[in-house]
Amino acid sequence: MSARGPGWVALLAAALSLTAACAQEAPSNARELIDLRVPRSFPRMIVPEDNPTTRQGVALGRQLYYDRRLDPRGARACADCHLQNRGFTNPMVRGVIPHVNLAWSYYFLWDGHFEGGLEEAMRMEVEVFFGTDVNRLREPDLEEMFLAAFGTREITTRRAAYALAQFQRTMISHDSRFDRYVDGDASAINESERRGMQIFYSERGECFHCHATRLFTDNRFHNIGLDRQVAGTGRGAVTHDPQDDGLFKTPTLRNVERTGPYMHDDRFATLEQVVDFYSEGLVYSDTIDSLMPNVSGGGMRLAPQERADLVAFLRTLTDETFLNNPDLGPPRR
Amino acid sequence: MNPPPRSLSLWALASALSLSVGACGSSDPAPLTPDASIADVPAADAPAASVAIAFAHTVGGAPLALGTTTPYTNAAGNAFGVTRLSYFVSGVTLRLRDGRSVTAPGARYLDAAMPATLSFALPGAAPVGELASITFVMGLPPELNISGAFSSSPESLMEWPEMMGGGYHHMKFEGRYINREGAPFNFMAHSGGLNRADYSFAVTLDASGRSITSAGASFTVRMDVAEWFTRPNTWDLNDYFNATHRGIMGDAAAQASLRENGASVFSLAAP
Repeated sequence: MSARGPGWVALLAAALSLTAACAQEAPSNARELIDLRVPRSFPRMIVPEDNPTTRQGVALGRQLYYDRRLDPRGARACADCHLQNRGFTNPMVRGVIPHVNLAWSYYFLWDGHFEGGLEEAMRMEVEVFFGTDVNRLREPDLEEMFLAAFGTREITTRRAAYALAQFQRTMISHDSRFDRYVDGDASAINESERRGMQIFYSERGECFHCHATRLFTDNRFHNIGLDRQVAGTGRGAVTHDPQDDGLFKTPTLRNVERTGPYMHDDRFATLEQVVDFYSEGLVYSDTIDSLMPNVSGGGMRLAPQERADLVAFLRTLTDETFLNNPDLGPPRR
Repeated sequence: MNPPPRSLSLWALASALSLSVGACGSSDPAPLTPDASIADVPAADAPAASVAIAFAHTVGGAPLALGTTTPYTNAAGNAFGVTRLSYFVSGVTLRLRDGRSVTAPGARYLDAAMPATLSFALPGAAPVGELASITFVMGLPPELNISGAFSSSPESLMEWPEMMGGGYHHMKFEGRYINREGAPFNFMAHSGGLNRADYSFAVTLDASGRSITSAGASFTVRMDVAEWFTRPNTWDLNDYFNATHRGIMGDAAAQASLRENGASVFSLAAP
């Protein structure tokens, strides 16, 4: 891991039972707990007791993330739709949610179709999205990794999902120029970016209420005024509550420069188009969020320089440390 | 957002608060500070009881229903509706006629859309006797209004931008009104410590005639949301929320006006 990434701090005392009835159940080595070093400005990370984050579990999760054996057809891996240098999205695949800071999510997908923690979300990925056939995973290299991670060579979809969840917890982005500025480096952003930040954090821009906290998302659902006809779309398609029609989950803005195209349906190719939309493209529908400003006037009505400043600020959220962290890339053989 | 210079003591307090929140969980109606002590707790052999406090929301006396329509009318004649109402109250205290009191220290997050946040029990046992008043601070007083104090949602989502002074919103009161052109227009009556000016305020509700008995007691505090726009300052929402004046977070005069109107917002529900 990088200097800002996880560090290895504690040894999990994996009790070796010399009288284990089944040799397959004996851990091959001690599992090492990871201190994820969550930035103090981030919310508290909840790690379930039944899936502590260990070096071996993360290694297995990382292997599986890049391993097409997870797919019964062998056609794709998680990483095929989630490219690290694109903020773990893929511009060629519609509606991909960035895999970043998901440890703090409790709704997944744009409409929140899946609720719960990372373990539940990854079980969905393994068991529903991929429909993983564990027989394809029963190869010596993976069996050794499962043994190291879970103390058993027995491969289950649940263990695969738990390993993926452990790896996801290490995917923390917190080293953008914006972060450095907030942490005290006044030179980390330039004057245009600073002006854009002022718009972002004011009711002139009205960005910060939804793209909230250092996660740049409130993990909630909003109708931001994309469409006049919203019946049966977004969160409403899940809850069947008309009050939820047209609502979609707030995406994080971390690395947003790299995660286009934008919106749930990829309708905007560039950040400039996104800001133009918020500035003059809002349309009214019954469920539009009360945070959306001046809807009848089209939106924020920013001047061209203000729009450029806001886009410049959004680009300060690019975290090159995260995007180039070798520990998040394909495992080395 | 300016780089936030923070003193060690503030960080220590913030950390302690965060630990408390973390321990309680976001939906746990426990207080948001670690020092849940009770002032003037009854002696071990004195009569004591459990006390519950609830907050309810009304519009002109009728129960508030959140929604995207505009069924209510304010003092200025604006048709309006409420989509979101969340706020902090701090230091809820019951004072007895004999001078004793019991306090739920720290801040509580209340959200009209989250019923679990709207009622709570005072920690420990309360003294038995006749009540004089129920008091609290609407919002977060300066000693609790510290950036980073709340690390978990939903409290953390109340953050107030550092460039406006940092800390947290006292209140998010949002909805829709019908403007002069006859069109629905959003309003966002958000209050907070603008540029470190404190717009929280003390609320004192006359509780004479009420008492805490050995069997316990429960009290309901009502917020009539229409009163935020009523007196002494009548708010025509067209003046505060329009194409050029989107909100009031950066408007010190509006913050002061809203605080003044807060004097008549709260009441104690009939037993």
